Amino acid sequence: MTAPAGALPTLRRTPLSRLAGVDRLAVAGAVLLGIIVLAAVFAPWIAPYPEDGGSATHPTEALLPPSAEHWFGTDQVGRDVLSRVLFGARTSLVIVVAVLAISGTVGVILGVVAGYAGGWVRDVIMRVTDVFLAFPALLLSLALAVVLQPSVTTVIVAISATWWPWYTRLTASVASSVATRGFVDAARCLGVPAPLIVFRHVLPNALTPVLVQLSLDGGGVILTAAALSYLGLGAHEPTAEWGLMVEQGQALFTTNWWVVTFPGLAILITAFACNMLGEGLRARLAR
Amino acid sequence: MSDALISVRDLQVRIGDRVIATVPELDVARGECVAIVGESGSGKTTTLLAILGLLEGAAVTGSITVAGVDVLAAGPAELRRIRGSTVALVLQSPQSALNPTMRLGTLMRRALARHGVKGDEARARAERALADVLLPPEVLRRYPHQVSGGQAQRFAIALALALGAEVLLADEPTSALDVTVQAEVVAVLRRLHEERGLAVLLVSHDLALVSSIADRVVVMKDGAVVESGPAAGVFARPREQYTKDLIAAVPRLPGHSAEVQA
Repeated sequence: MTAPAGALPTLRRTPLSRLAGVDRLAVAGAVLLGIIVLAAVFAPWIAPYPEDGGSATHPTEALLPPSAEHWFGTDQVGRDVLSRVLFGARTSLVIVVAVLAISGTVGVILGVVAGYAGGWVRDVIMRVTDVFLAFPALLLSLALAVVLQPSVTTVIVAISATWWPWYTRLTASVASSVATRGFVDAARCLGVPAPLIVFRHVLPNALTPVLVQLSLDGGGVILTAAALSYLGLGAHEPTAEWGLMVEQGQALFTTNWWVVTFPGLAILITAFACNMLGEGLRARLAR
Repeated sequence: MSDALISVRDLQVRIGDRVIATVPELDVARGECVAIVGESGSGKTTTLLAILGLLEGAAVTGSITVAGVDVLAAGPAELRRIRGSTVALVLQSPQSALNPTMRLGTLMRRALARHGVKGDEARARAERALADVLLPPEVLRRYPHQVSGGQAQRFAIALALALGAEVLLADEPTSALDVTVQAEVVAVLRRLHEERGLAVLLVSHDLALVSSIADRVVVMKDGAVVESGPAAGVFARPREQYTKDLIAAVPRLPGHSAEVQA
C-alpha cells in the first residue's frame, strides 16, 4: 500500500530522434518550399536582371531563347524570364501566406466556437458556412474580383472569402470531439470560464488536422491565384505574377515556348511542394 | 445541514421523459467519506455531475446545496467559484483529464491563478499538495503523456488539494488504472481522508476500495437508491438482495476470505 515517491526516470529529448520519425515526403516538401521562400526573399539579389522584375523593357532583346545570358530566355518586351519567375515567387508567397492567415484565422475561430458551443450557435455558424460553400469557389472569387479592382489585394480577399468555410467545418468537427474529452470537463470542474476553455484547452488540441489542411491548401491557393490572374482579375502588368505570365505567354507557346513554360513550371513545383509537405504531415498524423 | 458540505434532497434527473437518477437524500459532512456504489448505468456518475451543476440537456429537480450554495439556482460565476476551491472532481481516466498540450506545472499555475492564488503562494501550495500525494516536484515540468496513469491521477488529486478543495468528488478514480497503481491512489486518498479530514464523495463499483475507505455507503440500482447506511453495516448485513449480489460478485482468490472487510 505504499506509493513510490521515487524520482522520475529522465526523459530522452534529442531533437534528432524526433526528426527521424518525420516522413521523407514531408522533409522533401519542406526543403523545396524553403528553397522557394529563399528565392522569393532574395529575388532582388539573386535575379540576374533585377530591374526586369518590374517595368523595364528591352525591345531589342525580345523573345530570345534560353541561353547563357538568359537561362529561361526573354519575354515579349525583352525581360529576363528567370528574373520574373523569381520575383513572381514573391507575389505568389504573399498571396498564399495572406490567404491562409486570413481564412485560417477566421475559419478556425468560428469553427472552434461552433464545435465547443454546439446547439444554436453551431447551427447558425454552420448554416452561414454552408451558404458560402454552396457557391462554386472560383465563381465566387471571380464575382468578387470583378466587383473590386483587379489587384493582388483583390486576389487575396476573393480567395479568402471562399476558403475559410472549409476550415470552419474541419475545426468544428474536430473541436466537438475534443470538447467531449475528460480534460474539458475537468477544466469546467475547476471553474474555468468558457472562452478560456475554448481557446486554451479545445483549440490547441483541435489544431493539428487544420495545420495539415493549411499546408495542403497552399498549392490550391497558388493555383487559384494563378487562375484569377490568368483571367485578368488579379495582378496586372508590370507585376511579376506566374498566372499573369502564363496568360501573356500562352499565345507564343508554339513559337517561343519558354515564355509560358517556366512560370508554369514554377506554379507546378510550388503547388507540388505544398502537397508533399501536407501529405507527409498527414501520413505522420495517421500513424 | 450546517455541517453538511454537500446536501442533496429529492434529486431527480430526467432526460426527456426518462428518469435517469432519483436520490431522495444524500449528505456529505465535513471530513466524511461517502461512497455511491452500483453497476454501470445505475445513475452514480449522473448524481455526481448534477452536484457540480455540470449536467447539460437534462432536467434536474430537487435541491442541491454545496457549501451553502444552491447549485440549481446559482449563476455561472458563483458555480465557477465553488468548483475547484470547494468541490473538485477527480475523473475516471486520469490521462484524458489533463490537457495533452499543457505541462502539468502550467496547468497547476493557471488553475491556482484562476482562483486568485499567484506567485510564491502558488508555488508553496503546489509543492505542499504534490508532497501530500507523494509526487516529486519534477512532475510539473512534464506533459501528461510523460507521466504514468497513477501519477496523473495523483496529480489530479494534488490539483484539488492545492486549490483548497474541502470535498473531492471522485468518479471511479481507480477503474482505469492497473491493480498496483490503484493501490497508490487508494493509499493517497485514504491518507488524505483520515489524516487531513478531506471529505470524499466516491463513485465506484470497486467494493474493495469502498470498504477500505468509506464511512457511509449509498447503493444505487437503475437510477434509484436501494440501500444506504454506515459502510460497516451495509457490508456486514446487507438488507437488499441487490446489495448482497454486488458483494457476492467480488472475485476472491482461493484460500482468501472475502476481500470486502466489514
